[in-house]
Amino acid sequence: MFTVEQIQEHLPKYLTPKQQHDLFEQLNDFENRNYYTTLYETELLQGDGWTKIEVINFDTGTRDKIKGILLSNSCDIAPTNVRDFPPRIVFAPLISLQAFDELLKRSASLRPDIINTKINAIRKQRVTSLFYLPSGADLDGDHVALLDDLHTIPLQRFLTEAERAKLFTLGQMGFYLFLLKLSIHFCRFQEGIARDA
Amino acid sequence: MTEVETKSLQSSIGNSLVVGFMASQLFLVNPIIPLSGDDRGRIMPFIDYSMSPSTHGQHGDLFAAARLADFSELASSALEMFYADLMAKQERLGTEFEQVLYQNLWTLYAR
Repeated sequence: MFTVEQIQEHLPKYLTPKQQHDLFEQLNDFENRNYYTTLYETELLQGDGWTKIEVINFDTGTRDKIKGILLSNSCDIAPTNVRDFPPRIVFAPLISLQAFDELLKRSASLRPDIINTKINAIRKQRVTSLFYLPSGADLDGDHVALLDDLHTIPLQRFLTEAERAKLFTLGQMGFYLFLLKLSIHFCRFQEGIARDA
Repeated sequence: MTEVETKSLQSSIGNSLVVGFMASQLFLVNPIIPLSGDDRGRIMPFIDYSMSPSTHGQHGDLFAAARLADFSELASSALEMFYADLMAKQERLGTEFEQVLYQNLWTLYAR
C-alpha cells in the first residue's frame, strides 16, 4: 500500500529550494499574481493561448477560427518532433468572462448577487469545468477556458494558419494551476463504479 | 494489488488528490533551471530522445531527469495542502449557468 509520504519520495525534484519557495508563495496568492511569462513568444507549449484555431460546430458543420488554450503536452506537439502518426492538438475554447457575465444578467432566473458569487468563484479557480485566465499578455480582458468543450485540430493545420498569434504563455505558477485544474477535472481514480465482477 | 491510501478525503475527489498531484508532477519532467531572482519564466520541455526508447518525451524512468535537487518535505507538504484546499473548494458551474453557456456557446467563443 502506498502512503502519501511514500509517493512524495518519488516526485520529481527539479526545482531548487528557492524555486519551490517562490512557486508556493505565488500559488498561495495566485489571485493577485501574474499568470503569464514573457518568455517563449513563438514556441508551442502546453497551456499556451493562441488565436485562429479552427473549430467545427458539430451540430451544423460550421467552421470558424477562435481563441483557445492548448492542452496537449509540449513534447507531443513540438514541430521538430517528427511522427509517423500526424499529431493533433487538443485545445479548449476561450470565452470572454465579461460577455458571459452580460448574458447571465439577461437571464430572468438568476439574481445579480448569485451571478456575482459565481463569477467570483470562477476567478478563484473554484469552478471545476473552467480555467480562469485573467487579462494579461495579449489577452484583452478576463477569459475562461471551457474544459468540458475540448476540440482537436491537426498540428499541421494549426502550423500553416498564417494569421495565428500567441496570446499568452503560462508562467510557472500559471502552469501549475492549469495542471492542477486539469487533474481535478479529468483524473479521478475512485469514480465509484465497480468495473469488475 | 496496489492501493493508494488517502485520509479524510471526500468521494472521488479524495483519491484524485494523490493521483492528480502525481500527474501534475509527471508533466514536468524537466532539467533544473538556474536561480534567477524574480524570474517567472517556465522551463522549456525537456526532450532527450536517447532517454526515450518508445515515445518522444516519455522516459523509461519517469524521474530520471528530475533528481537534481531535493524536493523538500516542507515544499511537498505546501503543494499538497494547496492542492487539497483547491480541490475541497471546487463546485459545479450550476444548472442555470450551464444552460446560458450552452445556448450561446458558438457566439461566446472568443474570436
